[in-house]
Amino acid sequence: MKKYSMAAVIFLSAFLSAAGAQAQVATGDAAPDFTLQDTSGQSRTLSANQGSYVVLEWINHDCPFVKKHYDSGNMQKIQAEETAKGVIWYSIASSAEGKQGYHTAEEWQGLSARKQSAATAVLLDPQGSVGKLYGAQTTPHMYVINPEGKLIYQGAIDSVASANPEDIARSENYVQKALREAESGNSVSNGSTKAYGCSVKY
Amino acid sequence: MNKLGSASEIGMRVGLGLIMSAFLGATGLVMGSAPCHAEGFRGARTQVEWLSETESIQPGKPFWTALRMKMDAGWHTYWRNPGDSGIATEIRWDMPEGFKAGEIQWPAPKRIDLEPLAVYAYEGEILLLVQITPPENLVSDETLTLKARVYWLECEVNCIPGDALLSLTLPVRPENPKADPRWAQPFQLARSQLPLIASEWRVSAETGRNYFRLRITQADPKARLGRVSFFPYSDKLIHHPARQTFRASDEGYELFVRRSNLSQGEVPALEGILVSEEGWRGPGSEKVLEVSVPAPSADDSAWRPAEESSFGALWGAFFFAFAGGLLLNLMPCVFPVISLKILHIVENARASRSRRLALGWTFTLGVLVSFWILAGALLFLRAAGQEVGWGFQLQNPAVVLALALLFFVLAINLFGFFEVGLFLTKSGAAVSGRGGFGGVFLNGVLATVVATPCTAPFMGSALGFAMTRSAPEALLVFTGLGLGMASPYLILSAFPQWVQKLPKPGAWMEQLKKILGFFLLVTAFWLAWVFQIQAGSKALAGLVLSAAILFAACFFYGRIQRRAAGSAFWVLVLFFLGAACATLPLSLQKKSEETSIMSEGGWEKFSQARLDALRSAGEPVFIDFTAAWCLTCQVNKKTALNLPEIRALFRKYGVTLLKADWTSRDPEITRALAAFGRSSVPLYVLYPRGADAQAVLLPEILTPSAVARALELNLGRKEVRE
Repeated sequence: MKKYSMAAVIFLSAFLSAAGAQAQVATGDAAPDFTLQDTSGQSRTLSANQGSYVVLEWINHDCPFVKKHYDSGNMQKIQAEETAKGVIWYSIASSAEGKQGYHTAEEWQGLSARKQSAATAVLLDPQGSVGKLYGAQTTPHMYVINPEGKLIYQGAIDSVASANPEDIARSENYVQKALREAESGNSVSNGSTKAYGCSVKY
Repeated sequence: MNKLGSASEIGMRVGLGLIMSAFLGATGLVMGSAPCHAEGFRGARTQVEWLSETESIQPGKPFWTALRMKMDAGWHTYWRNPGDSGIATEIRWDMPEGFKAGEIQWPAPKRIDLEPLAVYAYEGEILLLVQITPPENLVSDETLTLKARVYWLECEVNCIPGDALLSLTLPVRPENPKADPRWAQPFQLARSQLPLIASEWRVSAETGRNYFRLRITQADPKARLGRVSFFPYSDKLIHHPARQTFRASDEGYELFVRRSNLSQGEVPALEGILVSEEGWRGPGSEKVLEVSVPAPSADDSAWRPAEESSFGALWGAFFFAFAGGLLLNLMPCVFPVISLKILHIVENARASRSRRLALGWTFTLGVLVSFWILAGALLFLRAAGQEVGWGFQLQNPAVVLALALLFFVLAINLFGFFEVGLFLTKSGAAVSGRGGFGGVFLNGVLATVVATPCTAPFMGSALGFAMTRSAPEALLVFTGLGLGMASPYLILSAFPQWVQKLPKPGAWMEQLKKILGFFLLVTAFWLAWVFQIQAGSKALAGLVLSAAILFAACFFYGRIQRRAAGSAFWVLVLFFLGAACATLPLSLQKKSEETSIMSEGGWEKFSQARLDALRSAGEPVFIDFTAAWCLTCQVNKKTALNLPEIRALFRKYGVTLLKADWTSRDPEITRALAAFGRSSVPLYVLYPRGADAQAVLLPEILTPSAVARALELNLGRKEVRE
């Protein structure tokens, strides 16, 4: 019966890879697992963080929309607030080599220090496989995963789609809203929004 | 895909722009610091300017202004719905008390594909019209300055945000305002590009589980309409990068648009614009129609959003896939493998029923697993945005090389130079005759690998269907193909009486083996020919060298097996095997620039640009989607397309012949095939005369009479009329 089980495994993995690559992770579904290297070369696996909230942030420091949130200090502020509460925050760079926003691990270390990133880690995804797995379209594109490993929010970072830092003050941060709602035991009121930003440079 | 930026239109705009700037220069000199002037602003890649259509403001009377944006070549700014990324241009008003600005009137955007995303944007120069309503209580002869801050995002691939403070200074006059002669033409042009709000065409919409269906009908059943695309105002409704399927239906036309995963459940209405490439009132007329229609939920089980899926329901697809798989057994490139299968049936005819059945299922499993792996890989690659198509495994020279050598060795084996797995058979016999399963399983795998490039008509349709469906549905279709292909073997193994009718084993089997070996050899030569086209003649020389050395290794191995040579000859076998491996890199060198096979008389090399040019000129076109590794294609070429009488017919009707050679991976051809819902060759497409003519697909197995009939039917009558 070895062959039947092999066939089953092949069928299943073909099915899963196909389904995963469709980039249609629905809010409420299990967040697909992945392992990526961070800028210090350490492997980070999503499923190792079960029991904590995880925020995924797609990043490209040359994108004006990312600059809006970093140059104003908004992103770092949120990162610091949330990681202090035990949230794991991964900034994921899916820019392909040679495209805007691609940097080597070493360059990333300097860049994150300069930008004063307060994320748990910056993960490197130059193949774009994790980006496509999650259907990340823009930088920033935000995902929130609950302690059970389910995706509870995906979409924009906040309510005002613009590249203008002045708009941050009058916008509602959707990531923090989702975290607060989930922490208080409620379901997230708006589990998926339209992300805004530059295209991810796959 | 809409094609708003047609060549003539761009030409017109550029020309107009030149005239305007010359005019502007002249008037600027004359007018000096005239009261009504527009202040321009140069962003990094975009020039923005705020224009007024009139030279003065009349109290209480609305007038038109426009934000003019000129983007550098290759750069774009965004429509009101930017699509997957980017951001719409925004205007924040800072006007004197009582002034009101209307909504921006957006011209139709262009869809720009940035795999795997799509955006709606403007290139070149555009005018965004805005109506301003001044208050009644204005003092005459006062000069007012209106201000607006404009925010935009300009992108090529990377993006730069722009913002500018623009102002417009106009005097207040009691009389009817005079039009500013400088801007009359641009305003007129911009107005002509705004959406129509009504047309003779009626549009209705329905919401299905995965698609929206828009139905476009007219009272006059003979009315024609060119390709239409939908651009929604909301950015959450549709899956922007998905191809929209537009086609004629019984009542008129229908358009299928894939839903976004951000739009769930009921959708109250579809709002946006429908862009017709040819215009809503015939060629050259208005291209844009605004729609706002309710989209009630509907049962979508009978919808066929993919082109070519004429059999609709899933089980229909499964059945056709099964039939296609069955037919595969008769295709030329499967034939050598059938012979391998026949051998196995003959050998096992005398075995017990349970063993036969088990072997039958093992073979089936081998076929199925290969199909699943292929399906999985295909779906994965497709989803990953790779330009692959059916038969892609033979588009890789390394795979062709390996297959050619494998078939060569198998042929030597069948000729009796050596035996395979003698020790396996011996040890297998000890384990109650299970020895054959691995071989049978691999046989199933082999059958699939060789069969895939030869696509029967059923298979082409089934694959086109599968490629446009979700992963589970596609896998079901592939399962059908595999089962169909393996079924004859399965049936024979299940019904002993039919097997008994097969001749008894004997000396003739050795002869049969050699005959079959000949077929394998022919297959190997054919693969070598394919390989030569892909990798060049130097690589072919490498292949032949490797094959010759392999032959020596096999020869000595066989001598050892028959104890005609001592075990010292193992050294020779290993030496030759090593030498064969060492020569492989010779074959895998990059192809040097050699002549392609495109120089066949009368055929032009296919390119989308060439096709578009011919189509817009209304020329009749015939496209041959072919590949060297596709035997059906070669047969069709010999028996139909290249016959003198058929060539004469093509000449008579003035048909331009385009040849799309898919022997090596060519993304442009992959895309063109996908446009017909196909991912395999052969595919024969005839475009009749006239820019609005619909493509006619010919059958995949061509006969001279079928081609002649298609030509006469689609080109003959019109010729008489002219």
